Amino acid sequence: MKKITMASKNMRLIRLLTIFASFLFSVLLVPHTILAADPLSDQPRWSTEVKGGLFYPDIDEWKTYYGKNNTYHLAGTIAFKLFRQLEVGIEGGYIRDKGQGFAPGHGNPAGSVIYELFPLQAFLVFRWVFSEEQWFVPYFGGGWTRMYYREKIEFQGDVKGSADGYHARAGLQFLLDDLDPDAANKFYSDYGVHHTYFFLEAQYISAVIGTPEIDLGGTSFLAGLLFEY
Amino acid sequence: MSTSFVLLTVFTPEELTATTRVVDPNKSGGCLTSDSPPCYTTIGAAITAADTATGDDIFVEPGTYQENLSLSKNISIQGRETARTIISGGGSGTILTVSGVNSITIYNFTFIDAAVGISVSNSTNVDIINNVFNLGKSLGTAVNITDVPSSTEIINNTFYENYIAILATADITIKNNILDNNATALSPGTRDMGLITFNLFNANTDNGPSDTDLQSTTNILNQSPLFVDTATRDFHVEEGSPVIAAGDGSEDIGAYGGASADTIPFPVSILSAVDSSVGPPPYQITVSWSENLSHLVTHTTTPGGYNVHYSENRSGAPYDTPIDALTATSEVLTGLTAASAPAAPVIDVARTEYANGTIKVYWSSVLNATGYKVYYRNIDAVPAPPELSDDVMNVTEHAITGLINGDNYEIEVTAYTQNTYYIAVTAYDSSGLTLEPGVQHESDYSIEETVDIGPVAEGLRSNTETEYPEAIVPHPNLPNEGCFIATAAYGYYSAPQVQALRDFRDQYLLPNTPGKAFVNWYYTYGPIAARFINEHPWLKPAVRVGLLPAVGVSTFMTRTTMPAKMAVVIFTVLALFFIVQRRLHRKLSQH
Repeated sequence: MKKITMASKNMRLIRLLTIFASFLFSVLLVPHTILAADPLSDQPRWSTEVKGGLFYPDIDEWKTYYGKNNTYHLAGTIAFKLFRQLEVGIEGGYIRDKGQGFAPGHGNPAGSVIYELFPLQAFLVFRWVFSEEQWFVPYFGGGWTRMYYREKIEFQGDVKGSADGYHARAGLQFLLDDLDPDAANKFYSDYGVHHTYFFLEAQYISAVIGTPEIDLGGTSFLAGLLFEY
Repeated sequence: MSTSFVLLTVFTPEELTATTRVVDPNKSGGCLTSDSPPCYTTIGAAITAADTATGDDIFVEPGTYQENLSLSKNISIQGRETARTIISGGGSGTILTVSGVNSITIYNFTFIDAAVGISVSNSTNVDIINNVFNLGKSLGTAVNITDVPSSTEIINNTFYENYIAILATADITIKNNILDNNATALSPGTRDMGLITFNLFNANTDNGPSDTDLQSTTNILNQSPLFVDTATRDFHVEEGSPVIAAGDGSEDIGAYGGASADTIPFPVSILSAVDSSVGPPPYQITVSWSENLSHLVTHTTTPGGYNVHYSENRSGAPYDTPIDALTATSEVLTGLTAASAPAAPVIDVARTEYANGTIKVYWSSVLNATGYKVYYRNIDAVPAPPELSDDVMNVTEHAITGLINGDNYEIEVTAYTQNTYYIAVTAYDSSGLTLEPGVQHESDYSIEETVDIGPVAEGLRSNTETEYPEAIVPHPNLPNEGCFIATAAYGYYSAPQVQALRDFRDQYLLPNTPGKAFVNWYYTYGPIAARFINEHPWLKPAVRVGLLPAVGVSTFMTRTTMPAKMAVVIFTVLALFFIVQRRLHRKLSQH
């Protein structure tokens, strides 16, 4: 069981600073020439992401009970572009691991527990994009998180619930259209997809529940594809 | 299969350069590209792969193949066993269309359920030999031959219940065939009778040629061929059949006569295999089987017989021991022994697992064990309950469930075994040397029967494992919103009071219908109350007090033994009786 200690608060601050520093570094990668705003005609209004990666839970002794300090995280988003640089969207995710619980009488890990999280998020994202041909697009954002959880305990039943929290995200998108312009044009003419990006993202989630407090969140490192249409 | 392949290769020297391709959909491990000879799962695939220049042979293992095949290559296509190598048209279409070939042989198949069995056109040197055609009396034309010269031969086939047995616009050789129970045997009826010789015509609605013409060329008319069993498509003939040695060259007429006929008797069926032991060991099993009525098996002067094959504790061919039962249709297998007790297994105490009401143990496997028993008893309960056991069959791990959390249990494991005999029967004929069942002069095995013999021998007990189950706290230990009121009131999911209520639910409510209905109702409305309590924390102490009776009863019901429960019930009844009686007495004295 995790208590929110001063040390863990410092760790959280360090993670946020790391994400912010990554964002600044990404901005520096963008050539100044492409920052000049182009006339944006026929611009995409919506976007969809599919992504996956590793989730590092913010729970003490995770490795003791689940064998390693991370597990997988899958997610998908849909977002609407308020402006070319500002999006509002929702994200659904799934995080799962299988490990053991704790046997209080024996005083050691025992049994079989499947731990699942279903983060549902509403977010606002700012994208540093000023040209339809811009190769690298840094972005950052954050928002509200509703973390649903389920623990399936063998021979014992399920523990279910949810907690509210917040999250922050930042990453860098790489425009793929120029790698195969013919395919990109066909993708646009057949499906209305303006741009396709490969992206890398760091995401920090916090959702605290219970007494003493347990933070169900953690840090995820994700990779995926973004389609703008 | 391999033996037949060798024979085929050795005894057909003119085809040494040809490739033999085997069709065997039931081959152990499946057909592989590296197989030699090449293996296929369908006849069509083998035909496609065949090389017409070298005159490949396609050898088809027994089975039922539903295929519509086209053949325009000079190859031979042979079934291993006529009666059990069946090609079906699925009720329509042409099974085998032969066109534009110069030399082809089709032999040892049974053709069923199609509009046309074999259709031949624009071809020469087509030999249709030792096949059975049984397409349906209202449906099919067994062989349809158009525009071919007299080099085509239909020899030693059995045509039974077809709409037209042979439809041929040209004069072709039709010899040594049985044409029985067809609507029309030969069409058209006007033909060169010199090519229609040594056939048996019986019970056809229309033979085609006149009886006079047929009799003029050594054909036999209106005599039953005495098939063994048309229902199972066993078209071997019984002793006394007019077709025996009545063909050209004194061969048998029909699908089982001539040099190319398969020599494999039809399989028999085991009717019963029972433990017929009387008294102490050794034990015995009495096996009986159906009779094979083929004249080759039942021949009066040189009969064949039956072999009983069996193995101890091992299923499938090859079996350990064959016994020649000669012509009898039952046999007593004697001298059978019971199994000796297996060794004691060893519980791997380091691997023992525990969970809510559950202990899982692992143990070593024991040689010859056919199953294991896990014994366990509660050593904390007073008075000591009887020892229980789970028969876990042939595995080396078991989770014992339904245990009381916190109580210690002693667990031991034993191995047990019982001898099982696996039995199959074959029929053999006396016309040649048997090689192995299903290959030559001996039928394939019957469907295997199993018989357990002697008592179950249980070995000594393993080492003793002592362990107790307990509820597992998940990591992280999160609140369960599904536990509603009690969780809200006590603040966390794993509170002992909440656990007591959960145990009561599992043990006393969920096993019965009214209890389940209550749980469902509670799961519907409980969360509303729980939410209200969470929103008004000052209510929690009052709710906890309110829950005390329920928690007390749940704890009492789930944590005490049956004698303790009975003692409390008796005490309560006596106390109530005493109180009521005292009140009545007081009232009466006031009046």
